[in-house]
Amino acid sequence: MHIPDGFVSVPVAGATSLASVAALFVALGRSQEAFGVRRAPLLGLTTAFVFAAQMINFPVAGGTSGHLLGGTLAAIVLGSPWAGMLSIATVLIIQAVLFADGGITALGANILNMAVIGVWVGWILTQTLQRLFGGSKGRLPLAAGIAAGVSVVVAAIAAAIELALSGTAPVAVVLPAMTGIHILIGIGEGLITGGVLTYLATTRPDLLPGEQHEFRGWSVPIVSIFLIAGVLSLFASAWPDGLEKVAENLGFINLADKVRIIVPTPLADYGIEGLGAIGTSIAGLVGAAVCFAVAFGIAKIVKPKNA
Amino acid sequence: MVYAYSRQEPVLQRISFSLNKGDRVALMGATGSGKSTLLENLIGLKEPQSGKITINGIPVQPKTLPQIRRQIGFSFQDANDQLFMPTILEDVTFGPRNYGMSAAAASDRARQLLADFGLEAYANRSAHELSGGQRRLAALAAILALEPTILILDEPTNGLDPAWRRHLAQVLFKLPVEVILIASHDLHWLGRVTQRALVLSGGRIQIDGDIQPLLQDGTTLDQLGLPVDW
Amino acid sequence: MLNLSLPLRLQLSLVIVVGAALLKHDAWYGLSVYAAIALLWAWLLRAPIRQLGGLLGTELIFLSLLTLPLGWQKASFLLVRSLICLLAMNSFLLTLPPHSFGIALKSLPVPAPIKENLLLAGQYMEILLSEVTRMQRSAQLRGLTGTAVWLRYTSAAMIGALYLRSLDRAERVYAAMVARGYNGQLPIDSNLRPKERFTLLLAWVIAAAITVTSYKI
Repeated sequence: MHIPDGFVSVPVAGATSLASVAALFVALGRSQEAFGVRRAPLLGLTTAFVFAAQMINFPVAGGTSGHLLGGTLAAIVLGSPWAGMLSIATVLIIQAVLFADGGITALGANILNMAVIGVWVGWILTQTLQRLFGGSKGRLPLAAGIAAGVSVVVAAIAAAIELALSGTAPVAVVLPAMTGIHILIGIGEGLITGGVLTYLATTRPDLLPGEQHEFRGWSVPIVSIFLIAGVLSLFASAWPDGLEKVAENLGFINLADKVRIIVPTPLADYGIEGLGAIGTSIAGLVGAAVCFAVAFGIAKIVKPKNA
Repeated sequence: MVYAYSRQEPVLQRISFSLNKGDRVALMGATGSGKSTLLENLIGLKEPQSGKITINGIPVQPKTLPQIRRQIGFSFQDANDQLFMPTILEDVTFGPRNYGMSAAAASDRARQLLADFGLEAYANRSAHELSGGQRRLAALAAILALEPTILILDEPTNGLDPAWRRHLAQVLFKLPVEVILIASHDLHWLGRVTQRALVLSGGRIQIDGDIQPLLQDGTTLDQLGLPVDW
Repeated sequence: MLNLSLPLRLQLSLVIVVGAALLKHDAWYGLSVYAAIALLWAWLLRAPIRQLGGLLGTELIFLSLLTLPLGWQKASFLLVRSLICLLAMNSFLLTLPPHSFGIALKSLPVPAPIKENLLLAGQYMEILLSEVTRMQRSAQLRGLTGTAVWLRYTSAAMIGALYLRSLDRAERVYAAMVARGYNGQLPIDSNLRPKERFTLLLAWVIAAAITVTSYKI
């Protein structure tokens, strides 16, 4: 998903570059604290490793093979999403300058998508899933694998949005296309990340992050619902559900239109106008948040005083 | 002068020896006997659990490390690990620049060293263009740039063919350093380059004496894990 | 023919790429000026035509798929602009001497800590890539075939082993660096001579003139 030169408009290039620079600036500070004098050799070699690892072909399915992108893996082995960001950003700079893979003016956007968004989504999701699955060290490869796959798709969606905002690709085409292709790539990424972490867990478990607190009690359903709302709805079918299907068949769906009060709410039809699948995700997340807020509020009011 | 007395982690126990100006010493021992660990203690990369190490009168402690490292030139086993700058010249100027020398002065010194080693043509080229033997010399030049008084070499002849081994020996003879300590398995080469031998076995120094008689004594060498005739 | 230093060549290529990429949309006049500059650049650097053609051809196919839905007029401008940027960059890359990744990256205008990372990564990329090649060759010589599950397992193992080796090497490089007095800052110089700096400044001024004018017309 490396965006080439000339495909992001000046405002989008400017905005993404500013965001990337700010993020990298923070990352430099945080990683200095974490690694000290060791930072340069450790980060340098890990960056070179990611680069070299991308050369290894990995069979995904049915004769196709993919290769590692490495954002989630880098963050986990380095133990820090900030260091992971720096590593992937450096890989992207090298790819753009020495391999003409990704544009120079698009570096801001590519770094934002893959080094910032990709790494952070992978990191946060890994921690969340690991806790959801019980928190033990053994669950890390599975959690990280799923997280890595999802992070690739999210990064691709960000890229699609940037292309759409730049006017270089129509949103109705690029968003589903990028999402679709990167679901496949994401599966590969997930398998590789999970596989490598399983290997490391067997040979050098001391290198991997330790156990996490398990989510307990009410956290489990809340987190799960957020995940389902946000992530799985990315893949949710667009087919009309049962009632609507019947209404279509019997021709009375048009009645609904006539009767509908015309106050277009922002999240009508579980979507945000013009944003397709990600609109559903955002709507899902917002909806879930509102529900929980209301439920929490009611519980507070209704709770017996001595409970 | 180097003086060391230490009782260290299980790898090494009750090590005690001293090196004086003019010494050319071989550190010998089977693989895993702790040669590298001992050397790493000398430049403060590892710390002994007890005992102390003094280099030219300065004790090896975290706050004296910059001074210590300026006096010791340490060559690691893999030359690639020591050539980490984009060009050879920058690898050689790396040390002096870290200690405050100006870019111009460091550059002059570096060029002189590279010329002495016949590598001046590679000054602005990457280490990847050099052969194994050339990289070994370039790494040596990088270490000598700080004008150390003590030189420590860890397996310097690894991967070198006989001609390069001879070349390296000739280079070492001419170096203006006070003490050279070489850890190596290359017994024949050590016999040509050093006069004294320290042999590590079972975590202790079993022998500290002239190297020539030792190299003739096949039985002792065999017992120490260094069989020469078989 | 042109005896420019590597850093200057990189910087000039970047000027052409950035200048062209930031042109206002549909500024065909400005674009044709950049096209001429890029072609001149490729000629000056003696970029090998066949390889250049091959690279650009593949990109053309990929980019057209991306842009065609926009309509021919919009798509053609985007395509030509992208190709000009690729022409400038690939002319530089195809004429890069071997083993000079680090030397090329040294001159990038980035802050020091990022540059340190770039240089060390550039330096050890070659070594790690050759380790990958050797691992793969060794596996093939031992008859690597089998089910997808087995192949995935071995690929994951190779990547994992590569990581462990890189980590060990990182420790050794760190040791070598501190043994020579490293204290957290790599001593890197900006390495353009005054004459080169002037040439670069001139190039930026020209590029700025062309690109900014495209917005005023």
